[in-house]
Amino acid sequence: MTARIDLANDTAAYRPGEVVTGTAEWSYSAAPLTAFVRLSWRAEGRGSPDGRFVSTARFDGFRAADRRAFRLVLPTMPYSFSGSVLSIVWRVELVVRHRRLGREKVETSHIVTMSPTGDPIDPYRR
Amino acid sequence: MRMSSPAPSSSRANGAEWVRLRPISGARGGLALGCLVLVILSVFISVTVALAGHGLDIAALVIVVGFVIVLIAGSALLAAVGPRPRVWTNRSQVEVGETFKVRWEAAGRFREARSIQITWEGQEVAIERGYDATIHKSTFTTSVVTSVIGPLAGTSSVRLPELAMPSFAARNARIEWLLRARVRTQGWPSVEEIYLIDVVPGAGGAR
Repeated sequence: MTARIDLANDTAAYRPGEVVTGTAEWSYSAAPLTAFVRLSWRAEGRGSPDGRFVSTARFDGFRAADRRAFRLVLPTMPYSFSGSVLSIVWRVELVVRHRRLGREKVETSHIVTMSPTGDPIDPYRR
Repeated sequence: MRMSSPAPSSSRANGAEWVRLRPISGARGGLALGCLVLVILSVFISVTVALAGHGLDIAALVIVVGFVIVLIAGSALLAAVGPRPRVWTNRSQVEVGETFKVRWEAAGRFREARSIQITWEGQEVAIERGYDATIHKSTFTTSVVTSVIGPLAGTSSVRLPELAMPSFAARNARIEWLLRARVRTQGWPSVEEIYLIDVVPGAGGAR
């Protein structure tokens, strides 16, 4: 059983408002019931978990071994951020549900960076 | 996203349209009022206890607690009626990479302020929620807009870096940009007020 995400942009660095394109590929013993790719940000660090799912590319009519292209639009905020008590991390995730009563599970994810420079904003860097 | 809180009034001076900022903290009138209510309550309790013949020990304890509350209330009341900062900016939203103007004055009805200091700060905030919320803060930028030896009224400019993080607010994570004004007055409690400034992405930040 394998699952992977390939981004069209090898650097995984995007500017706000740009489009994230790529392919999601999987190989299971049976066709999954649900499969989609979503874009989300998550606040990490010393605070409690926080985040939001921003956009989703849904697929249908999939096979046990499949490869699907996706296209997700980034918003303008929040930028990827790397501070001392807080980090904001963007991810593209492949989510799959195998059984009817089973839960949706993140099979694989890919960290992407969204900022005007392509690097996470580090406010302490001089 | 948290925004700055400009009061509806705006004024014009030196050719610039000024927006008066409203503080997000530092209002001590409510604290003073609450303390005064507690004082009245503690006096009432101590008199009742003394008259009921429960002994002077309990009454004395209530009086001591009331005295401490009187001190806190007095300090809060003096701060509420004493010299306070007033801060204006020439825009309610500031883009990353822009320069904006700040105007300030320290004014009081009964006393003249000794000094006013305004600092421009950027901070990251992470909120850890449990039985009580714990707030973790780290200030990544501090610059002095006006020093303590500066004039009690004036204007200055603040420039945001090109690669600054814009303001952002989620349930447990915030990026805040703020002006902190502290007024000191001889023989009077110091007053500190904080004004949030909404920093938005610049035109070059998004396509």
